[in-house]
Amino acid sequence: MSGSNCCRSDMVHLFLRKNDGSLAARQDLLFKLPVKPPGAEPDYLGLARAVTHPHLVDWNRDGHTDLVVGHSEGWAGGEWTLYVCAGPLAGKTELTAKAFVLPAVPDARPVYFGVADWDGDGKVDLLVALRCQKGSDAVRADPLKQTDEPVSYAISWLRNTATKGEPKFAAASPLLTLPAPWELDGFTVVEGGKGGRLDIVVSVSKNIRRNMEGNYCVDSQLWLYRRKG
Amino acid sequence: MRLRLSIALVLIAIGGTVRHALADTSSPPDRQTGFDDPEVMLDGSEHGRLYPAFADIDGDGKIDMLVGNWHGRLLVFRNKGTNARPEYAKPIRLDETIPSANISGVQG
Repeated sequence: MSGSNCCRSDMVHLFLRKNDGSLAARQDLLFKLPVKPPGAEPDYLGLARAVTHPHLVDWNRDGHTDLVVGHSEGWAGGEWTLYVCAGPLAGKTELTAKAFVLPAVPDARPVYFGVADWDGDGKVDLLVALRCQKGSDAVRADPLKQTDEPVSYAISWLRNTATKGEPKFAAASPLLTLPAPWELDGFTVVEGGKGGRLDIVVSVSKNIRRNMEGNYCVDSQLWLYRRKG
Repeated sequence: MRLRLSIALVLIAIGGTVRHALADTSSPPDRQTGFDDPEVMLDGSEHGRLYPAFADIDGDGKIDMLVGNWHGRLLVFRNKGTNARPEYAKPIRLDETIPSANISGVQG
């Protein structure tokens, strides 16, 4: 399953595994938000450019795989909202997404989301890549304000404290900060080796610019952060 | 054909040289909790920003690497090592085997 491209914010692409082990042709899944008050048409997820990293996980622990989508470039304050399409998902091409609001981190906005059982307690936790800038909340609240504080990028962990059903996340706990001038574009949690250790592969970039042909280019790398212990 | 509901994982691809080296940490990291210094796995500058995922794409029991890029063509780095010590082959484009995997033209 792959996220949508920058011109479509309400779609993910699905590649099912066939019985022979190969991947089937792409299927496109569309979301829609629940119907608004009577008379209103169902909305599709916002028109803003989206980086929708989809996750297949049993979000509410009912035994069915659910689809959880993060929108890292949200609209009208929707950045701290995940969209959960409850399973079972088999055979469906249009899904109804339910909003799941996360606890916001002060002076930060999410760049990317990851789902993993980070502390190994059997419950799905959330990891979030953050763009941090002191004073940014005040600027957002008042467009006449400005801040010249430096921007930094970090990954934090939101521990799932729920004993049953859908997650209940604690406040964000910092895991790592990127060294400047690198920016954090995305990440994924991977199994690192024996004992179920989880590592993080991060996508970083810097120095965005236009080349001689007028196209954008950037220095980009993938880094592996191995967890200690 | 009836499709088994074993869903493939996220795909995003990037090309480039897969190597391991210490990352260029231009300033000392702080608030780094419980991690070794980062290692560079891939330099993908020719493909723009990178969005990685890991899954067994070819069904051989080994976890491969998939990376997305700005061009909408997903690249697959097949693991020719082991899961404990992965060694990634030169990338191929997923749409070479699954043409519909080319999402560069998918629009709203």
